[in-house]
Amino acid sequence: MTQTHTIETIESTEYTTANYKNGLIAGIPIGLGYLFVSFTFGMTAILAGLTPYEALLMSASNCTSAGQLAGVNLLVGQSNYLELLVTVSIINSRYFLMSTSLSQKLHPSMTFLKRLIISFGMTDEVFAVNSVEVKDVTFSFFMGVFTFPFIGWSLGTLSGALVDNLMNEPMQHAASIAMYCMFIALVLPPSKHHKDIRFVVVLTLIFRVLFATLPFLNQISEGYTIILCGIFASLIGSFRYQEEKLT
Amino acid sequence: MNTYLAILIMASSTYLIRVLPMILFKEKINSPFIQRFLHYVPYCMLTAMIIPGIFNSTGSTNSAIAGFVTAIILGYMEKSLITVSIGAVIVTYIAECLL
Repeated sequence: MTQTHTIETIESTEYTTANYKNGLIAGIPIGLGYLFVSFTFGMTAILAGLTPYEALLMSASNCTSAGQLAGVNLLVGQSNYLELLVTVSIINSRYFLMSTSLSQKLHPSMTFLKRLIISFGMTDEVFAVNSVEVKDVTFSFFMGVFTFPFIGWSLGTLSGALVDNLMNEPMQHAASIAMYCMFIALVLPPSKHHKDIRFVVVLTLIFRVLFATLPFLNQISEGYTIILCGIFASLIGSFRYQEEKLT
Repeated sequence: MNTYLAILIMASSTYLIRVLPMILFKEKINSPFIQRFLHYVPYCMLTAMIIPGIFNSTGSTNSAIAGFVTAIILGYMEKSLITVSIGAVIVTYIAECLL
């Protein structure tokens, strides 16, 4: 007798059911945030000398703000292809950890081909929502989450590239905080309810302060600092909370 | 540099970084320690990206603080992603105009 998949386990009521529609809904704030951020990227790209089409192509094929910004700067700065490859890879290296993390959380229905497909959409926020909102990540949920972000990121870039100075400065500044607020909304509730998560979050903050102030550590670039602080805090948390039930 | 080739290189390297673990780690890693570690990773990475990034995101640190505090309050109240974002953006905008 075949057993039907249950997408949602019974104990964890704080998780959403992993279907496309729920993914779509969860992705709306990400899409909105991306609209804002990619708009400014579009403007930056134009200033750097790209055409609107090139800016759109870059965004649609990369879906990463940090890496794209670095790439644009290197393009303008008359760099070479090798430096471009290395720099973009290092800046994006956190995605390696994210994909590893999410690879452990995939629903059994996720085939190899589907893995290849969803990997394209592994952005910071998409990863975060998939990690936190559902128990097992299904293909439909992930693609649901990725839908609006992809549209927002592409459309926003194009809009920013085509329109000049539509937003005044205070609006631009206010909009650029949107992404960080999304992160806060994702991290705070679990921290509130689970002491082990609270612990690693606070530890990460402490590490960031250390990395910002101590002599050798404050020379380390932002990308590496994020990875190191994240890894150290997670490691220490894993040692400390061996008995704690995984949520 | 040719722009299209540069875009291709960027997109390829970004995708490669993302897809490699999905190819390498096909089985569930059975070690409870590693599972726990990977469970904490998203929360730590997000936290590491928020602080101090959020304070540099707007033009002035003060408006960023205003937005940050708003987001903390709304986030603690477990409001939705949209509510937290929009609430903080509005407060930041007001702060930007006033300061």
